Amino acid sequence: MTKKYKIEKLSVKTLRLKDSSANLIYNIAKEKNVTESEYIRSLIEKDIGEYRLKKAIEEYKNNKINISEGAEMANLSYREFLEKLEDNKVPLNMDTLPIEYGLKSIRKSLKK
Amino acid sequence: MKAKAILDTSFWIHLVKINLENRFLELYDIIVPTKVEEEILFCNTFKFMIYKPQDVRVYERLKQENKITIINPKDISKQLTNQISKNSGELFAIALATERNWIVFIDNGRPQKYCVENNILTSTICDLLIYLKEEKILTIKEIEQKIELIKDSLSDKYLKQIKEYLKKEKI
Repeated sequence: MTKKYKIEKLSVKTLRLKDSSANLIYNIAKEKNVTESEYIRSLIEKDIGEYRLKKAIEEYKNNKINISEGAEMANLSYREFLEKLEDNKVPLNMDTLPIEYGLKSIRKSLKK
Repeated sequence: MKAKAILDTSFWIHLVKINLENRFLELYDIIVPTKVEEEILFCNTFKFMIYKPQDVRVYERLKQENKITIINPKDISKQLTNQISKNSGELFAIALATERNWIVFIDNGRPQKYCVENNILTSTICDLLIYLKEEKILTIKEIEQKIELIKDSLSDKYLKQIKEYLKKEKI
């Protein structure tokens, strides 16, 4: 399997912050040994990630999307999204298939 | 000759989680479309990996032992792409099941619904457990222990249905 790394283009956004927040960002970035831009970007990306995951879990819970679509919505891999569902105690929508149908399918496939 | 079963990612993860892959191989030849394999092995593309999930290790071993065969569908119908998300493993798994009339094991609601509506053989990890109990391949106790391992992925309603089904079969 080939390794793929995505390099995204960056856009410029200007924002105003309270002086107290700006000072805190400066201090935290310094402590973390990153630039202020990098620190602000990580905060925004973290929040966007959480928002997308929350939204995907909600949609999955309401049976509006399936695992693959949820993974895409949350910008995660199939496995990662499956793990997030488990971490958030969200059951898989497996009960749409009647047990009898599943059993009948197994018997038929094994010709029993 | 053994029957052939197509697996989807969610089912594979559960199958290994409950340590049932060898029993499964006694019943079926495992068939996996490339897209499902990509979903299973996706973590191999990570730059840094703290741990390799057990199901990935098992998959790689079985593939090396030629116990897993990759087969892709020749065609995917428009009807299917309209209902199942494009470029997902389950889309390819169901398309292959339709083409070959093989069973597809999926632990995911919406694709299962499509299978039932279109008369495609489909089943879940829990149905497999019930079947193994019916055939006396596993005991009730073993099944309960295995269900415990995946109970976080099962709704209370479904769990109750399974327990009632197992109880009913006990009589």
